[in-house]
Amino acid sequence: MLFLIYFLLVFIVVGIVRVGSRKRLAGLIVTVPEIGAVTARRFARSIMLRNIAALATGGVVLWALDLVNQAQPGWYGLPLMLAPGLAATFGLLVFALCPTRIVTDQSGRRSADLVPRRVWSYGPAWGFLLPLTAAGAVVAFAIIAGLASSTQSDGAFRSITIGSSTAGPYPGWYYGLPLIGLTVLLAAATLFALGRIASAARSEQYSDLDRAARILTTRVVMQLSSGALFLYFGGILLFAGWATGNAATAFAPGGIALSSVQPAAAIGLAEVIAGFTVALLGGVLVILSILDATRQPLGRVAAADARAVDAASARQS
Amino acid sequence: MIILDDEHPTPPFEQIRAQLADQIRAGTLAADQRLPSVRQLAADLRVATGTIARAYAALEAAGLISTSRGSGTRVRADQGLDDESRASARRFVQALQRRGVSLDDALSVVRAEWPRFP
Repeated sequence: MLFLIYFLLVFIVVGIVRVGSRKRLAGLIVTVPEIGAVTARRFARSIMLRNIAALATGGVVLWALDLVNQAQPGWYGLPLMLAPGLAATFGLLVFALCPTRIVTDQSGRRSADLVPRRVWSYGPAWGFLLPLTAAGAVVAFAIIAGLASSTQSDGAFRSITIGSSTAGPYPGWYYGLPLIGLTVLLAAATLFALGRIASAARSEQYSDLDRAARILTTRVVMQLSSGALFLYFGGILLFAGWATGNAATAFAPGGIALSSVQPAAAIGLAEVIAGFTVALLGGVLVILSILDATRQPLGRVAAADARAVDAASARQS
Repeated sequence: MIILDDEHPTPPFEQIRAQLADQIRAGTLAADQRLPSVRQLAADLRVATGTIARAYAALEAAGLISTSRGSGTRVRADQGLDDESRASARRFVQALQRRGVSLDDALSVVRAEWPRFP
């Protein structure tokens, strides 16, 4: 039931965001003169293929980690907890290692502008600050949860003890340390992918298409990495909240809560609410990244315009 | 903007160095302006990164730019010509362009006339 509500909310929010950003996204659709249509279409197709390959790689990693999780019940769900982050990391590596560029006829005369293209040149500042803050929050929460955790019978820090009551699974050091490592790995893969997008060769002839493609790809990378980060952050908050709430509550044999230890029970509830919200945001961002990844930056091909053709050929010569 | 021409007799490294030096002296590239990374410029001009690195090294040796690990490559302050000299150059160029004189011919005239006014 909770999953159904979650997916329903994700799709409602995605719908609202898409309708709200329709105008802005329309600005990323580029028109090219008919004379360059073949080259531009080839470029747009290569971007689409690269994006789909990155998403497919992420999907395969998710599926593989689910299999590992089922095969190794003694790992207590660790592969599943790492799955969104690892899938996004592998997807981003495909982005970074398969850069696309507009292939035109080799010209003996080339030009370059002297404006540096930086990692953050193709997106709004908040688009980079939000995941960076969230990554800091994940690391801080993993450390706090690790310090608050207690050991299970096997010695692994994956439960929480409040008074004489112990509950789990709790994101103690057993889950927290790999998650900190994963967050660092995801941040590095994101920076690597953004760096490759920014430093890829610029096309003089199709500068608008080149810019639109970079903006769209940066959006996909940021949405994918932020979405994965928020998904597993939401997951650990939910687990922490449930475990804290269970450890802080005394239950009657029928499962009815008798009394609760405060403020631990309130903290547990706050973690569950925050976890659901963060996971919702993560789901929305991942769906948006899939939608943007399969979006064509090439809107339509304009009829061959003499001036455009002249300008293009003048730049070529 | 810099342009690289394969058919020009000057080697690519020198074309890049000379155009950057000209733009710094003319004030087109302002003091403290950050230049693109070696990798970016090499990708855009389709040359080896070593070619750009060599041009940057020559400009650094001439005192026109400075490179540091943290802030990248930047134009050094007070490297441009003064406003009056630039305005004179602009007037000179406009006058010669009106007469249909080419850049090479204009530079030849300047070189020939220069020693006459020590």
